[in-house]
Amino acid sequence: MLGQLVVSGLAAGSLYGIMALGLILIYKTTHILNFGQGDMVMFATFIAYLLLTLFRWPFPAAVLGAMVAGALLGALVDRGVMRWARNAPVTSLFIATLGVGMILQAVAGWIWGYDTKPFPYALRGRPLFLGDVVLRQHDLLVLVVTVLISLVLFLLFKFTKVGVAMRATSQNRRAAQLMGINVGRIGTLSWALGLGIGALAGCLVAPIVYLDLTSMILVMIKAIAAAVLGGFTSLPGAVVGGLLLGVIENLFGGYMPSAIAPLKTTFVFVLIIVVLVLRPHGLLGERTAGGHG
Amino acid sequence: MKRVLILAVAWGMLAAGALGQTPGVTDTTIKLGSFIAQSGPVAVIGIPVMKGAQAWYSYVNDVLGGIHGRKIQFLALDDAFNPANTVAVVKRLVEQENIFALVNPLGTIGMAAVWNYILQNKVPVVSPHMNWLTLASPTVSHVFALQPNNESFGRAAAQYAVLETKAKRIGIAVVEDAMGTELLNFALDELKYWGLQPVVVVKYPGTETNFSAYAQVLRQSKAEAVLLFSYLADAAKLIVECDLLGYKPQFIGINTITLQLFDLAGKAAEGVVFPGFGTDPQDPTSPAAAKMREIYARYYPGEVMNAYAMIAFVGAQLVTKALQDAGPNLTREAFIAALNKVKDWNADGMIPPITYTPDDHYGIKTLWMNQLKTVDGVRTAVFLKEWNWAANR
Repeated sequence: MLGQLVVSGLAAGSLYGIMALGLILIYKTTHILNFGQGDMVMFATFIAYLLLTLFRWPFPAAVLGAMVAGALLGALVDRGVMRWARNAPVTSLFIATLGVGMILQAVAGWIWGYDTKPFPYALRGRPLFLGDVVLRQHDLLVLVVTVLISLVLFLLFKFTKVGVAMRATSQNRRAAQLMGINVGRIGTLSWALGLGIGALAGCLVAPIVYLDLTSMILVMIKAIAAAVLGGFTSLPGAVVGGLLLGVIENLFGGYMPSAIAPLKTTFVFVLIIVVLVLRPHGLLGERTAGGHG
Repeated sequence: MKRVLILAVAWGMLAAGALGQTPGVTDTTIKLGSFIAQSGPVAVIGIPVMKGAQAWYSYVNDVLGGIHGRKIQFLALDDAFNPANTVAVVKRLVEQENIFALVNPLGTIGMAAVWNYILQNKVPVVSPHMNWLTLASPTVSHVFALQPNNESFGRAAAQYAVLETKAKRIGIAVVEDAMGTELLNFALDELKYWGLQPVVVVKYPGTETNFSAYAQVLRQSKAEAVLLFSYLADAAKLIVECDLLGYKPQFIGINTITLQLFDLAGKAAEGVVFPGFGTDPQDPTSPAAAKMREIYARYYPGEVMNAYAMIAFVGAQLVTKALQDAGPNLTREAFIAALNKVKDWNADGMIPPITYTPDDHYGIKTLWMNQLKTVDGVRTAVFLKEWNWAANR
């Protein structure tokens, strides 16, 4: 039972991790916590659903289509909303992202209805057995993709010109501008990348939690917890945070008596508070996390 | 001449006064009110409920010429499934809109919020779409339940596990909310009646996304039958996780389970038993369903009528039957008296028969147990048998 709980927990945790990546990417460069990320991811995932069901696209093509749609949506949110409101207080910008999310939720409800929709696994076929422990092929794929994306983004930020420009913009917008960085374009790029990756995450999460107007938000809440645990600015940290979260909640749910087992998520949040008291920048976060450079 | 005129005016005023005593009724109209979520997460149920009821009321007005010459005004307001909204909506319906009756309202939490108000104002409630036991137990003179309540679902599921699947080890998976708790308590009581206790009770919060640990706990318990007191998507997630572990107990659900479970859970849904209380409106063999689809399509062309729309349609039919039976001099008393005389009414076979008496406003008591099965390559719900838990004791 222990092995299965850990492996299932890792599978669930990788969903939280991958959902957190897009959110952190946007936060890292713009210092805006996108409260509408869950709704935006949901909308992009519905695009994949549309391509799969109405246009009969193969799965990889539909996911790619959703990623492009997500990226366009991200660019649109930045150009259409965030840029116009950039002089507003940060809290107003948070609310603006929430507003965009709610609009998208209403539009999605109008187009696709309120029924829960099934979404195909990226990998079908017999589950993998490791002794007594069983794992879906899809779960393994999600885990691998999550780790890969976090590493690629980590390298992008660390070693590429665009990544350095993103970090510079994040640390001091005015100075970055004076150094010749087009901060507007960097902002748009961050939003596009954040929601492009969000769309990919949505397509990998949807087979497990299904697709409706709220399923992504419920996962996103845990993704935010994972991000906080990992140290909000660290991409690998979010993945580690997500995996930890998945395993801890599974162990709690598996071993605690039924009266308190449903409190597994509450327990995780309590644990996060404890971690934040001991390490305010999270497990792998930068010490400046939370500052606004 | 002058005297005749004065008499005529006085008679007119008296008549208007007499009519005015019945809220919501004029010579040409009957105003019916409702709260039905049209927005928010429960809109998935609310929208078809609204359309199902509206289709029948419109048909009565447009084709059948109304009820004794009066057209029905169906005023369904959106409470977004938020009880705070329900209170405002119902007060508006009763105090400002002056409705004759509250018909086809949706959702226990909303009704619970306005329950005392309903009891005080004595506004008739007919065809409520909820499983709330309080509607029918104890009997309230002006409230008529339609759908089976959680007592029926909870006891029937437990009884089915004991008597039909002959399971000695019974597990329960239950969502932690008012519905789940009510179902759980009745199931526990029913198991006790048959000398059993569940080997495991797995409770999960309504916001859960990860069911793997719960599936583990169920498998560990070696339960042969698992009562599934869950909403559809949660039920699908849980049985998929159980299936992944190679654990295949007999799942027995409640009325939240529909054929859609096959879409969500795939082959893992095979064999799940669940209770129904209505004919599938898409049933190709039922003339009543065909007629219903035809009327629905008249107002919502191209839209597929689902089970929620069906029960609302039937509920609306019950309302208009009682309005018709109450006669041309419509009062709330006549309406309630007509409802108390409903006997073995089944909407042409669309639902199990309903009988109301002044002491019994329970509504549907008999459940139709179904099982999800693949027949000739087609995933369908196969009718197993009728189930009346009270009669089985």
